Amino acid sequence: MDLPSLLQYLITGLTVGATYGLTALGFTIIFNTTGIINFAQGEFVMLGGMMSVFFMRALGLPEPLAIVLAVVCATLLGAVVERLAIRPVRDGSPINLIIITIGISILIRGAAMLLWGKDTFALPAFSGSEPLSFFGAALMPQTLWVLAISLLILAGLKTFFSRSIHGKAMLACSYDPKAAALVGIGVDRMVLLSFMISALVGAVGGAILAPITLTSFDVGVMLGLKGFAACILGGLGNPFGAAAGGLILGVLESLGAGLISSAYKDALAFVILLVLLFVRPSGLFGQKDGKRV
Amino acid sequence: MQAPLLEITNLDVFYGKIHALREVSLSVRQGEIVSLIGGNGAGKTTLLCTISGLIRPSAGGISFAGQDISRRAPERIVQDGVSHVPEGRLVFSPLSVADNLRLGAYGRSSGPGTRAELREQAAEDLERMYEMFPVLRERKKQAAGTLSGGEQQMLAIGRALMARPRVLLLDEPGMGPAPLVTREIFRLIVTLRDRLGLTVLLVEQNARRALKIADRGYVLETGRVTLTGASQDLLANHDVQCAYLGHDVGQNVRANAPEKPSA
Ligand SMILES: Nc1ncnc2c1ncn2[C@@H]1O[C@H](COP(=O)(O)OP(=O)(O)OP(=O)(O)O)[C@@H](O)[C@H]1O
Ligand SMILES: [Mg+2]
Repeated sequence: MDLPSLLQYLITGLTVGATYGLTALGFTIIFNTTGIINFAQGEFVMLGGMMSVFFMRALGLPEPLAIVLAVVCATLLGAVVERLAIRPVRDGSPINLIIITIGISILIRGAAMLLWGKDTFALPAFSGSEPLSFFGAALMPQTLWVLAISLLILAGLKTFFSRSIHGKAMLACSYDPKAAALVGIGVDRMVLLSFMISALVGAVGGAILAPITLTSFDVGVMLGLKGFAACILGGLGNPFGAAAGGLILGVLESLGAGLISSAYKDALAFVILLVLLFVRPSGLFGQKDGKRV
Repeated sequence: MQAPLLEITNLDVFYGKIHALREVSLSVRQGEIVSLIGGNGAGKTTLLCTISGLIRPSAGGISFAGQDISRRAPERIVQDGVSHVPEGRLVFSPLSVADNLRLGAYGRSSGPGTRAELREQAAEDLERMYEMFPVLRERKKQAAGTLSGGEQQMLAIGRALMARPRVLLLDEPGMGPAPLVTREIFRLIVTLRDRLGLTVLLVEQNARRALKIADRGYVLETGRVTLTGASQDLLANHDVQCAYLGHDVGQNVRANAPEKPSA
């Protein structure tokens, strides 16, 4: 294979991988405060894209405003989900909670289908669709947007968790909720915040990817599963690992599609996941004995 | 006589069908060290957790500084001035020692004062903790989980003190560390009371150790308070000696001993 096409696969992979990474970050944040895997995470990614489209078309808003509004709505919906579906049963077993999140995802997907139908929509690229040439490969401006915004979010979250006392308080809830309550951290509020932040991160991912991959009511299923795979790949609970896992998964998928066949693109992610679970269950960047839950 | 700072009246607590505390009444006055002794499963931890709001009582009252706190959320109770150092210490293992201490002041971050003032206050308190526990200063960047048991206990106490409490609830602080360290921790408890006027409710299985530093004590057995009195009286009490001080008084004497207050 020549360099330009290799580069092309790499670029495509990184772009999609960035969204997997953002989805994976959403999983990580909720997992880190509550120990729950929120299988509705993919739906927030879908909502980010679909609501942006909706706000542009139905309300005639300019694109940046539509996206901001979509992200705000998704964040609020994250709060609503936590208050109505998670908080009342917080003390239940993790398995029950996980099943509830699957229920939520089905509900959101169903509602999206009723509202917007089964069609596929495109969001206009943020700044033109004239490809730039990059060592012989075509680089869409949207790719740069995706990578830049993803990096920004990653840096923001990293600062939040490693510098801000509120971020550390959120981590404290995951290490020991009882001790967290005893130092005056409102654990309920932190859990609510974690659902909001991960909805926000997911929705941003959905909105920036929509101009590249199109969007429809059911894109959340695959994105959610891939994001989850990325999480496991990077080591569950590790934000840096989640982002890196997303990028690695995206690139492998894109190379696999180019070199083998695009028919197996989706299957590849899960083959990688299975192999990894056998070889290194704690993930690429997880501690060897990284049992936490 | 002044009104108690912390007063518990007829407290009942259940875990499902298990009746863990039965009509427990207890009071602690400002500046007192009161110890709560009792064997495994007597309900000591349950009582502390109920005071700090982690467990809801099904009946009875808990009043602190004249206010009923039995329905308040735990984070609110910390802000009110009751800090609980839990059994098993429960430090935030992956976080650094310094972060553990800083989180101790988290409840105050929504208190009165500007943000800059609060930050300065927390920095001053942090410095005081390092003076009180020099080992913690040496290890401030280390993950809390890598500390020894005794150091973790000091960290847990320091973290609780960062909230500037008026009452400190301590659950078996002497459990685990080497005897020397345990003695140091007990000396510290007395110092805290003498210097800062802190009020302490101390849970211990080792009755002698606890009663030596306490003003008064309560004996808890299967969820009931069966005895209470000044520390010297409890130390001299025959039943306490038999049950908790490990005196070898022999089967005979025990059999002939007067009945305990009805259980
Ligand atoms: N979460 C729980 N669920 C059910 N029962 C519990 C729970 N926690 C404690 N218990 C029961 O309540 C009783 C009191 O327990 P508690 O932990 O308060 O005792 P303790 O005096 O602190 O004992 P120890 O000295 O061993 O720490 C025990 O019979 C215990 O089995
Ligand atoms: Mg106990």
